[in-house]
Amino acid sequence: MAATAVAVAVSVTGVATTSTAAKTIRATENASLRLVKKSGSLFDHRGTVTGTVSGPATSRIRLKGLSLDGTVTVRSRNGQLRIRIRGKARSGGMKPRFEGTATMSGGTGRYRKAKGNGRFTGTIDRSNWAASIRAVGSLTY
Amino acid sequence: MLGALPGATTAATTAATENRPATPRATPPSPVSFTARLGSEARRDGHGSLSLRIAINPRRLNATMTQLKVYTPSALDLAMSGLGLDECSVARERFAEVMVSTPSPVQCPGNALIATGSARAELRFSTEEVLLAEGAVSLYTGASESRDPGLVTIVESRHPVATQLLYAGNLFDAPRPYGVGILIRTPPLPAMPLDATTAITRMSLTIGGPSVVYTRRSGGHDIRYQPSSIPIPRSCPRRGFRFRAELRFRDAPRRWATAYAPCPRR
Repeated sequence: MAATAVAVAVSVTGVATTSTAAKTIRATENASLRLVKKSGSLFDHRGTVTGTVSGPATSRIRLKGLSLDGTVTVRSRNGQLRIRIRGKARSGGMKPRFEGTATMSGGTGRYRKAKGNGRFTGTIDRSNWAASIRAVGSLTY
Repeated sequence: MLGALPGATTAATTAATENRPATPRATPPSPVSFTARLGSEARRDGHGSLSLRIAINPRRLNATMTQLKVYTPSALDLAMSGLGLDECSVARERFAEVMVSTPSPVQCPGNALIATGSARAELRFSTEEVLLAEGAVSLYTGASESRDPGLVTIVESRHPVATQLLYAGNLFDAPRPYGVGILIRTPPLPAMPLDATTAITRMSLTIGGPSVVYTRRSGGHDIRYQPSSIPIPRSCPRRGFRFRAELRFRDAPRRWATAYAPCPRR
């Protein structure tokens, strides 16, 4: 399998503060990831995320049948943020499109107690297994 | 086509079952038979083609199939094959026609081809007057269908009339222990020039295999190659890989059948 690039980007479109202790924002994230390792249906990626929480990123994604399940970890200056993505293929072809849920599931530093829910869309290029993911949702930290 | 795999040695196990099984003594022979087998080239921890065959005995079930669902085992992950790299886009209204005049047949990209095979149908003019029609079947990746990866099935009939039939379908997430499901809608032909109802009585499909050849561009040249077929795991269930077929009819209850594809060689 050829090496692949996956990209993920995230950007914040709005902010709403709920309390002094925790902040909730609406985030839009875009990731671009390339493949570094493939083992059966398990894909390890590396790349970058831009948006609300930006920085280098890694991901581990399992593709099984039409299902996608994985975690993207963004390493920002303020800590790591984990984003769990679960979804289904909505199209076929060289770059199948996936849709599903995105869940913020903690991390380190500022995002140690991060949580939130949203949706993601993405594509995976079957020629090199590169992934492009866009997630939109709430982020509380 | 099934016949395109001359060395397909593995004998398929068929177990067709009625909707409501009767008591063992009274169980009539099932009108539906279903077989599945991996190609002779298939190897464990490698790849292999997959042949599926559905047959409806018209003497036992005089009904028109409107939908075929095949549930494939999760261990044979169709989505991880090298098949279906392109998409065949067909306008929705062309499916509604079902029958397309051959002067302007739909042409799908070669790299969208997933499977080839054959079909047989009965053209029923009346209860006494029935003609057999045969055709070649090609299954392509299609545009997204109801938020699922789409499929386009093209049946090119040669006898008794030369026509092209288009059927829509899609892949779907089948419940465990199955993985990817294949759905093909086969609505009754709405505008039969022969004024006969059409009932599919047999369909054979081979996913991957030697008749699926793709083209890629390299160094300014088109290079033909055979895409990788279905990945086959190292381990294999004792009875083989289990498949399920579910058939819906316009004028009869739903039927289903299971089949086991024997394990390929190591």
